[in-house]
Amino acid sequence: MTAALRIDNVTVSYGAICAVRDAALTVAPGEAVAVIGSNGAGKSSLLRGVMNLASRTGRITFQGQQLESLRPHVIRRAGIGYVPEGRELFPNLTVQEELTLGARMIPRADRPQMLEQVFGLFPRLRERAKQVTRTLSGGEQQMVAIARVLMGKPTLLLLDEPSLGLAPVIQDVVFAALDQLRTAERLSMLLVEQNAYRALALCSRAYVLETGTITREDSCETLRNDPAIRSAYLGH
Amino acid sequence: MLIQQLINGVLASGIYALFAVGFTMIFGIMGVLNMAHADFGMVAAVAIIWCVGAGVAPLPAVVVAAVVMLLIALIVERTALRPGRRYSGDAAVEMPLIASIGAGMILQNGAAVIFGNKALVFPLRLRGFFHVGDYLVSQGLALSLVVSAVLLAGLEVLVSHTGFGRQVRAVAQNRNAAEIMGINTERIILLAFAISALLAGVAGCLVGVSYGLVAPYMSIPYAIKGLVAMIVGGVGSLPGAVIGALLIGLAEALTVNWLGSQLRDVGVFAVLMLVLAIRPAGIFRLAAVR
Repeated sequence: MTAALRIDNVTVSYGAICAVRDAALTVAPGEAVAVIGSNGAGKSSLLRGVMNLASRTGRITFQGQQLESLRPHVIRRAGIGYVPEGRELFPNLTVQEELTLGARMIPRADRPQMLEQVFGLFPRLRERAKQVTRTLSGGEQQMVAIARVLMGKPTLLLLDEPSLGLAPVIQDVVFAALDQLRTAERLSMLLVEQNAYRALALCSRAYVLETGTITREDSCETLRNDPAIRSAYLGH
Repeated sequence: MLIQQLINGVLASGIYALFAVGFTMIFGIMGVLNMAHADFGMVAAVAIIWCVGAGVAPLPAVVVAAVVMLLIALIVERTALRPGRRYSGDAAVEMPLIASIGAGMILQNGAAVIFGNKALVFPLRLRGFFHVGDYLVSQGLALSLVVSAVLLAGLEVLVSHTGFGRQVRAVAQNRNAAEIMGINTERIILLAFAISALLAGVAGCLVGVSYGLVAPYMSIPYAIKGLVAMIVGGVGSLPGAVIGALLIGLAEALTVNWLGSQLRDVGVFAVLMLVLAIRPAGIFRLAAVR
């Protein structure tokens, strides 16, 4: 079976600084995979490398298609939805406008249904539809960041620290939505998350990234029960 | 006399607004000042003179001039502005600024070499006046104001109420985010640049229509007034650029009335300094096209 995403020997660098070295990972269709690691381990750089937002070498294929020479907007149109760290919303656009922008790549006739689906996932956004995004709370902004990507019906979702800066109760909402996408929609996901507890609970398989190098790959259940992982990333 | 000058000021502000909106649109989207912007107006105007002089009928001449001006504008974008987008920080701002000053000089001096450093008679001029009560209204400037108002209203509809406009605003607010949302940001920037160049082209032609003469170096005062209007209105704000243009048109007219035409620019810069003192970010405090 062709992997949804395959990364081989990928190195991501910023000038002379190497953020990720010779990384290799796969995400199977419908699979949710986590990358856990401490702050500065290179998790965000790995996703930026996939999206061609940072200089990288190596081989990246999405559903068999090579991505190395493609610009970010082409990668998005190929079916990879990217929710960046810090959300990267358009501060003066309304929620409705953000969602409409996200829906540009699906047929016009499908958009109302998709909008209902997204509002079903994040009911709060229906109430906030006319509000400009800079006036939303952090949690609502995170919902917009995920929802606008979903509007384009991606086949693979790249999520960079979706729990960052959110209160636990809002994290529950966001991760419940992601869990629904994983189970009901069978959406492939690559989740990069400092909150290892959340990541290992959501995904089936995970990679551990330490100072730019992938040091381990295993099922989330195994990692959750591993004393070294528990001590380093789960706080007990 | 005062009311007559105020009428003149309002009429003149239409051309200033077209230049100012182009400046602010490019700054809002690309984050750079295109100092060759007003020169596109000169290029369009002299291209019409050249075409009509070569025996082309006025309407086809306008079309040919628009195509020539757009081609030149796209060359300027590709050679003077686009390279700066590979950099970040100060270099991304300074490099296109200096390069576009150079591009403007090439266009001005190129036109002077081809057509001579002299005023050229614009073939499509409207030099008559009509009366509104006791006051005289220049037909050319009245037409300029109407054309400007229609174009700027159309631009407002385009930017605020269409899918293309939504993409323009997205690129202006966060280029990286726009790219990862599947927007071809280079294409949007190029289209927005072409629209701004067309506005400058129309403005340059309206100068010819209103005053009857154009010249290779005519763009310099219009560039200054366009920039002042942009800053007064708030950099990146389309409505701000229009309000800024109206203010400097009125200031210019009032200065002419009170101090004489030799000092007409004093009022323009007085408005600039006053606004910067009270609202340093301009009347509409924005940094991105909305």
